[in-house]
Amino acid sequence: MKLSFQELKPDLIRLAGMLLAITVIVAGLLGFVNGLTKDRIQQNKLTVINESLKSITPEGSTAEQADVKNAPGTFDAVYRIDKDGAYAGVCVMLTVSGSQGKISLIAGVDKDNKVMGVRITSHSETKGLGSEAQNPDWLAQFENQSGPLNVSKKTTGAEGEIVAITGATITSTAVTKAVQSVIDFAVSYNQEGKG
Amino acid sequence: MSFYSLFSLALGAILINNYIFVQFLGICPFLGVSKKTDTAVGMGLAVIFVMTLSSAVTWLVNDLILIPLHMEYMQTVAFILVIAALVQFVEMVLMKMMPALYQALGIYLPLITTNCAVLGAALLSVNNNYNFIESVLYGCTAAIGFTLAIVLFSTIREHQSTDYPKPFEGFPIALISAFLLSIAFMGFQGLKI
Amino acid sequence: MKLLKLIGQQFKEGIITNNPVLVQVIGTCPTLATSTSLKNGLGMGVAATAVLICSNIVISLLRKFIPQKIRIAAYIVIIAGFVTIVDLLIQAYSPALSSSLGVYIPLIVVNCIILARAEAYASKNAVLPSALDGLTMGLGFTFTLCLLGSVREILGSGTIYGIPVFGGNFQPAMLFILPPGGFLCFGMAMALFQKLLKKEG
Repeated sequence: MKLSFQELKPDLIRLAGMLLAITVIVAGLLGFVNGLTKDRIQQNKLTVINESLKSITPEGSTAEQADVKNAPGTFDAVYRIDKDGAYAGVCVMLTVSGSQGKISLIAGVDKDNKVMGVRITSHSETKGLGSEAQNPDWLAQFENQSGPLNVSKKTTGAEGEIVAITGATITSTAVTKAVQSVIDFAVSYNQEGKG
Repeated sequence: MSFYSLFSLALGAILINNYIFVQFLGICPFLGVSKKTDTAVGMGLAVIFVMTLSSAVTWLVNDLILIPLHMEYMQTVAFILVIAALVQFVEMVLMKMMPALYQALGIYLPLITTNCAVLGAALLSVNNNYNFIESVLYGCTAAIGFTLAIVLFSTIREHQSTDYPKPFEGFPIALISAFLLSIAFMGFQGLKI
Repeated sequence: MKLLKLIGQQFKEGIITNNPVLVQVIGTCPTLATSTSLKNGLGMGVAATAVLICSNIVISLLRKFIPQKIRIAAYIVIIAGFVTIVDLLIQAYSPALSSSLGVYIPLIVVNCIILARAEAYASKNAVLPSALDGLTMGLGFTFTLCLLGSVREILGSGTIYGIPVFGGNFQPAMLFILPPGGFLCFGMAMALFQKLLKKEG
């Protein structure tokens, strides 16, 4: 194409114009579909959070988002848990770096500084390896622990031990560190007499 | 964003989460251009150039246009347009400045547009909330990982023995070789710095 | 009757003789990445087929209006539009599928199959044949994904569509759902197809 730019100009403008027209039409269509699905997508995200909260907190408790100053940067939201009118614990939604990207999880610690439960809400870990962190059987290890937690490759029965997922040490460590940070936060939160 | 974390990001993109052997991004050119080492090197270099530039430009487009206008849903369309334009630009540059390489790459050059690796890197940068520097580094090192994979593979294919069952001729035997290389790369999985 | 035979012929081509993945060797990235289970393979296959049919129809409708010089860019924008629509719909109505398929849904845009069919068929044929082509090629893609997905899931997780197949003592060979397994199964499937097709013709 050895034509000069001047010769090509009207052609280029027409072509660019057509491409722009197509793009604008597509953008309009997408904006429309986005408007239709936006609320539902938002709702789905909330459902995941609510269901996770429900599964780790005691039956009949309520969760209310609390405003916490100086919370660690990884914390996305803090929920105060009340049961039968009395303070029962705190749940924290946080996002940490896993081995293949970010992992979002919810960890709950009761007023006695024991872990109530952990749920993974989103991740992009390798299927079969890091994704096993979602498995409730693996996450059950965290329940009733008060830390300090440490990751080990084999079961030795030591205090605060979390056995890593085979072949997914990075993911296991990331989740364990995240839960530990929630325990540390809960200790000071509980101490400040918020309950 | 320390040097340590950037180094970790780079090493991750090149080895631990290698685009070809772990994330399966960029397989079409991987299978198509890896028969000869020089073409593989040429393709790799072109991809590094395109991916580094596209990571930069797509980040800017996302940060300066899409997010402020709450049009994140336009990411796919916008990014692929940026990439298509960049590839067109690279094509013109190569045609003028390195015609031999342009000829050798042939149809595979415009196909960089549809190379999942380029769009994949842009989208993954967004998913991981990388800032500008991290995004450009990620695009560049992911492309280096791609180039490493494709060049490694081409050296194997150049010396391919012919001692295998007939139905495996062509792509199947290449895939089996890729299978073995993939297992080797899995050795990097536990790498932690 | 002749029409039915023609249609049947196109299905056979899309699924077997001209199978996009195993014969034409296009659309390989998503094949390797999403064939870790039958459910993922099926989900991805259906999503890609939907985009393929829609984009083939639109591109065929506009084929006389899109200037030659910008045709690839125009096709890509149209395809990207449909991919985003499918992406939003999946996020809204099947969040589980959205999180298992992850970044591979927007990557349908660069699924070589869709662009290849747009360029090779939809831009040159009327709407109904283009739609049919989209359907048959999409089915070929989905079939391949399900085939590989089932094999990898059975051998790698011991389940099929999430339902355990073997007894409790079965130790799955996890390698199959990891990246190397993808290459291995894909290579084997291709070799199998090459053998079958050589026999036929």
